[in-house]
Amino acid sequence: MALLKLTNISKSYGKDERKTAVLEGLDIAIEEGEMLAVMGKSGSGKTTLLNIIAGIDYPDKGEYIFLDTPVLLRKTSDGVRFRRNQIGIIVQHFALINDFSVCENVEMGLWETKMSRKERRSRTMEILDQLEIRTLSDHYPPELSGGEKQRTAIGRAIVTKPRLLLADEPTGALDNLTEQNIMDILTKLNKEGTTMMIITHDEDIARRCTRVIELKK
Amino acid sequence: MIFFVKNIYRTILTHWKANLLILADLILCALMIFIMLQNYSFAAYEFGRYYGDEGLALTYTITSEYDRTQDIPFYKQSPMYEATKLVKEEIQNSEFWKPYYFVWLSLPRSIFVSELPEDFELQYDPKYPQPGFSDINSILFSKHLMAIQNITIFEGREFIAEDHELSAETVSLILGYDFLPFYDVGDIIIYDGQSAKVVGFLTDNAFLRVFDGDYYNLDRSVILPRMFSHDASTTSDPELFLLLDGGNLAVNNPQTDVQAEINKITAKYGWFPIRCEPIDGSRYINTEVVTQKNIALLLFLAIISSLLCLTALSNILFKRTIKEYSTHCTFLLSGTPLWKINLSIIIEMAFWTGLAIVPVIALSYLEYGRMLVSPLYILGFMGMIVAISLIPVIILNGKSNLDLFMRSRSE
Repeated sequence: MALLKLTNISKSYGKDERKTAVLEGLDIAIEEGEMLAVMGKSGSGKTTLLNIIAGIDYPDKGEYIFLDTPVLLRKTSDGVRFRRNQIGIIVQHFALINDFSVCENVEMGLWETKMSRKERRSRTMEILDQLEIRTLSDHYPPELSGGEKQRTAIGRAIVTKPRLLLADEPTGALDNLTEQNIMDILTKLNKEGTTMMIITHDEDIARRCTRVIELKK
Repeated sequence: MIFFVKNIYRTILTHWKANLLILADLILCALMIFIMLQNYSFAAYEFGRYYGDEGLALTYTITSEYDRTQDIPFYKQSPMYEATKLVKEEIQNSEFWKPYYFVWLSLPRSIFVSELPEDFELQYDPKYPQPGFSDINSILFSKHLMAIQNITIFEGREFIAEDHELSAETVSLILGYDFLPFYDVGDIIIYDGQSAKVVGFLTDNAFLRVFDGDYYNLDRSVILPRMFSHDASTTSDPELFLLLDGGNLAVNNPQTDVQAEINKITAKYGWFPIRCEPIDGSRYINTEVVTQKNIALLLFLAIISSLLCLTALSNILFKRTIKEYSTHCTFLLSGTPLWKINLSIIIEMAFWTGLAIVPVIALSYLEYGRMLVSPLYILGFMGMIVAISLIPVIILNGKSNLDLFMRSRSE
């Protein structure tokens, strides 16, 4: 069953003569439980695609259906609500808040839910255990290694149990060993049922995914 | 709720330098607003005191400023004599006030009944308290005086208009309350060949207000409506002298500029200047310029200082928010709505604003022992300044671009 379906999606930036088409007539579907790798050169529209799926950006044309429901995002707040309920995002630069501890950075994803404080704490600890960073829970991001930061970012992305995990170059800032470690975690999450889409330049990473698509200009 | 607690706690600690500057700026602003409002309220109080009816003079004395060594305008041979009569008439008939006067006189004890006690005249006589002086104190009351000073009659009647006329054959008399055992209404007293008729008695403990706060008991005084005897052949006109050189004006509207109105009359007839002095309350005219200028200056200073505080605050807040850009984007990315981020900043600023008026309250209690200006007024002004300084911050947050944030270090 398709988790989401993009049909005839077009997106361009700029105006008039400076208008540059990034995506043109793109059709794509992501099945539930799938681990999709999206490859392509710089400027091919990988991040644009991720932003459209995440509700950060809007397509100029085309239809976006998520769980059989058309996604119509008219305001920034619609996108925020959509992400909160359905999407987890991991980015290359981790996007952690340096003034919050590892525990708070992970728990942050639950602040907008109706969970009690106890439930939040329990769920956060569960994730920290899962990602093997419980011992770092009181540490702050500047005290962490790249791999530990990315685990924390993954923790924040999955703590709400999103239907789809979007990762934009999740290992781009990491060394090979740490990269393998993070991919092991993502693969494990996928096997446990998390659908994900990974934007990458790295063919080794793409090979570990269940499906690979390449965007061309 | 958890977001507000965590985020405000975080920003208070993370941006402690900027926050100290914000607090210092707000304290300065609160102090300035406090001083301005304090002074404004003082000035407004003074303004109200002088411009409101309360505290304004209701009674003025008038004194003619003619050269007493030269031409006396009350003498019949004076070239100003006719003008003097017209000036007096116009003052008497003015719509702005009611004129009145009184003159201290004395009547010989011999014209009264012998039953009057020996010390009858001594008890209340302020001018001749020494024993042995045996005249009875009498006071000439002009028209309006009894009504203006609320001097009332116990028995008989008050003076009527005819009583004040010089042409009346019989002089009407009103006696003080202590004369009551010795006289009845209708009794005749003969003095200097002229008969005077008792027409009434004053109530017990009747007082004449001489100056502000200076009262004279009338229980043993004889009240006359005019001079007891009048010699038409004399060169002076004492009746004319009475109002113009030592009279009083009870103004109908306390905001009347009495001096200006009197000046108009004297200028009209080319008469001597007449000086008007309030004998109660305060003068209206001199305070006008001072208080108005003070209030205008305070308003100007308040606007300038508020603008300076506003500019500084807005600048610090804006720079602080630019530093927070990536944090705000991270919040948006993880599902925190923008309005919560903005509300968090507003709550934090409310906290700093509340903290900033603490020194003001302390200062006020230290200086005055209480708050002369309500803290709510100060908070109101501060709130306006903070609200305006938050506008650029709210706009900046509204322009948070997650698309750019996602790409910022990923490609």
